[in-house]
Amino acid sequence: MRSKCLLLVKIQIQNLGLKKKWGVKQIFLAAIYVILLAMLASYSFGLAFGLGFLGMEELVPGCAVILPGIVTFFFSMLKTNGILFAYKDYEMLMSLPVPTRTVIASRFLLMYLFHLGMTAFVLVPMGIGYFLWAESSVMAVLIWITGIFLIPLIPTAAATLVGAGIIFISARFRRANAVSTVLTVLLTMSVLIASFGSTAVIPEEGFTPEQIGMIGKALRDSIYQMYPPANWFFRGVTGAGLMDFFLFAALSVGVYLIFVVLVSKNYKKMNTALMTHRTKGNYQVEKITAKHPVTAICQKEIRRFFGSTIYCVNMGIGVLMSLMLAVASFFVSDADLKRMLGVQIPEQMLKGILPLILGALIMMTCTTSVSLSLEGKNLWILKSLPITKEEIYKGKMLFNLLLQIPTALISSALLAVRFRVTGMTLITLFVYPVAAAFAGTVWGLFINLKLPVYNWTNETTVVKQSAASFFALIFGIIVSIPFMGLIFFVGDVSVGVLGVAEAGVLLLIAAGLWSYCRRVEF
Amino acid sequence: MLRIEHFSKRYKGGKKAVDDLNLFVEAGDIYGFIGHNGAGKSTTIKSVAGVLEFEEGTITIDGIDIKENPVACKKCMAYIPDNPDLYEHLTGIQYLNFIGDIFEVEASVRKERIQRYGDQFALTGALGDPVASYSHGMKQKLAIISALIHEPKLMILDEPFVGLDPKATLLLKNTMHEMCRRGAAIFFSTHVLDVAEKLCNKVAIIKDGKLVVSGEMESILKDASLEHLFMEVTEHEK
Repeated sequence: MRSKCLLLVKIQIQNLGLKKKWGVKQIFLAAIYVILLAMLASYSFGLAFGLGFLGMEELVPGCAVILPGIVTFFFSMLKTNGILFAYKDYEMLMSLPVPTRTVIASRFLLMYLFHLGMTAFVLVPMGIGYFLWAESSVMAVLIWITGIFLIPLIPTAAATLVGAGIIFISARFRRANAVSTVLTVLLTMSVLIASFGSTAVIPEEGFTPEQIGMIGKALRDSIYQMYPPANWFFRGVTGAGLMDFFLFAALSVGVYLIFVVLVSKNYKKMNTALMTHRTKGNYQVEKITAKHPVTAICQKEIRRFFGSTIYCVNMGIGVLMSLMLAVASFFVSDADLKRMLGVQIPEQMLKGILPLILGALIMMTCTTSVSLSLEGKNLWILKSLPITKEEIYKGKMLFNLLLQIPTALISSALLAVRFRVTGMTLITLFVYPVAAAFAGTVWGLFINLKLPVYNWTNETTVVKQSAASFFALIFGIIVSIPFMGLIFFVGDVSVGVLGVAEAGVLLLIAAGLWSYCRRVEF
Repeated sequence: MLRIEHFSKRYKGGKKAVDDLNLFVEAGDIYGFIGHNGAGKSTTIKSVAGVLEFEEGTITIDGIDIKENPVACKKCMAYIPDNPDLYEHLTGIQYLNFIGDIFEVEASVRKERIQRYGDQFALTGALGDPVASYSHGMKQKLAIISALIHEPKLMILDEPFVGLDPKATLLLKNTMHEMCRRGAAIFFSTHVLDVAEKLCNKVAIIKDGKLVVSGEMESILKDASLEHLFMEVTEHEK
């Protein structure tokens, strides 16, 4: 069973389509990933070192379990549909003389290997930072290293079970995809709200030296209460309880085994439900309304978007977060807000930054960055149709703007009421996010034309793992940083006027990128 | 209707998939395009349909150069690939309306044609279901209907009979005849030689990217069968 499992994993890795010969593009992308991993490693080391410097090194083992655990949980949940269920070669695999449990184990192992890599990039530097302050022994280091392999197991299995649960529930409905999307979005929102809400449990005491120990103890107890395996790992590393570490190891492996047994019982049933479709077969031709070709493209995009949970959740996150921010602002008092920000910002300056934050979130919703790639094996349709490339691009951009602009306006209105924004700043609060929507939309088209991925077998490759989606995600942040810097630097000059000027810059960027894109073939 | 002149297509690595192809399809022709696997049929067809870029030669449809005015060319033709990967997230009727909107087919005309061809190909009842639920043959039928609703002057098909049930096969043949009677032209590739022999008035055989035989079926075949000719030509160049 083990050799068949490893063989299946090997085939899956080969099927990822990693190129053997690297051109400039591959080198550039690899460099980006290396930089990101280096940043992750630096952050992890910095966190551990900083906590040790503050005398809170007790928190580090807990953070080592929780932080990669949360990321692993989140990403595993989103990958369940497409990697564990309803994947392209499901039928071929299941027709082979391989037990179902082996197939499941191989799919799980692939996800685990990915998260193992990420966990290692967190735990190794974090361990170095930790052991600079904490007492170290050979046993402690061995346990820490063993932890790298064990930590991803529980969150991967748990998240996959949650993802499988969502699939199991939604498969019972006619519009399974829509139900799956709604459930996933609700779960994502819950995670985000819980993350925001956790800042409220930080005590009001300031960070005076006398109170650091109290805060550290409170945080440690809070983490270990929330997730007991983190405590067992901590006790193992500190030597306080070697049996606790064995309990952590046993639970990690046990959860994985339970996962395989539970999922294999209903595996075929769930995949059958996902991959077959309810049909009525009783259609009668109804009244037809003709549409303009650009509208037809836009409507197709709407159906494409809402027909895919992965696409909807990943690309919709920006507009979702902007609405959540606007609504959540009503539940945070001015005093709490100042404490959360940690620095004293003049009220007028804060009002000047609001449009930029909103704009950065709006720009995270960038369907144009993946929309051409998602044509995939359907690309021949657009290529063979009597429609210009400009019309195709306009249709795709129109859809993204339909997601962004109404959300931007609603969020702006809510924030305007909450923060009592008036005058020029009020105009900026509406104008800047709309300008950001245009800039982000055209940027997405530009980057998709530059970095297309048409030969995918799993949407996740395009929506979550492509270079285009990554560059689209960070565009808003990168653009906002110098703008924010200007606001801080300029000080008392009307932030409203500055904001409108910045909106103008964004519109110029949009115009420039569009004049390039409309001449480029896809 | 279709003029392919000195058409060559080279892929990465320098290999020529098609070499100096010259081929003319007139209005009223049902033109069969035959060759072994990898001969260059799909490359030629995709280049005609505007799906593949090419560097050498000219392709004109109804007198319009496809490189100079691709939209005008595509407006008067329909392309159906060998494996029609259609938009699975749409229903059949949504896909047909999408195609109808792009080709700017009037709503009333569109409705009548969808009803007619949907009933003829026994697909009307399934048009409300997602394309993802269709079998290969149903997708093939949907692709054919989507080609017919805008009444193209030139229909390009790559292996059109694969996956069609016998009734649909007969229907497609009859539809091809009907189109040609109205002045349209059909250009299709196939491996089913006896269908090509009975259906086509003209044939071209391609081997390793080069055209080896082309012309009127009657004058090419004389008393031999198309199968015999094909084997002779591809085994020993005539």
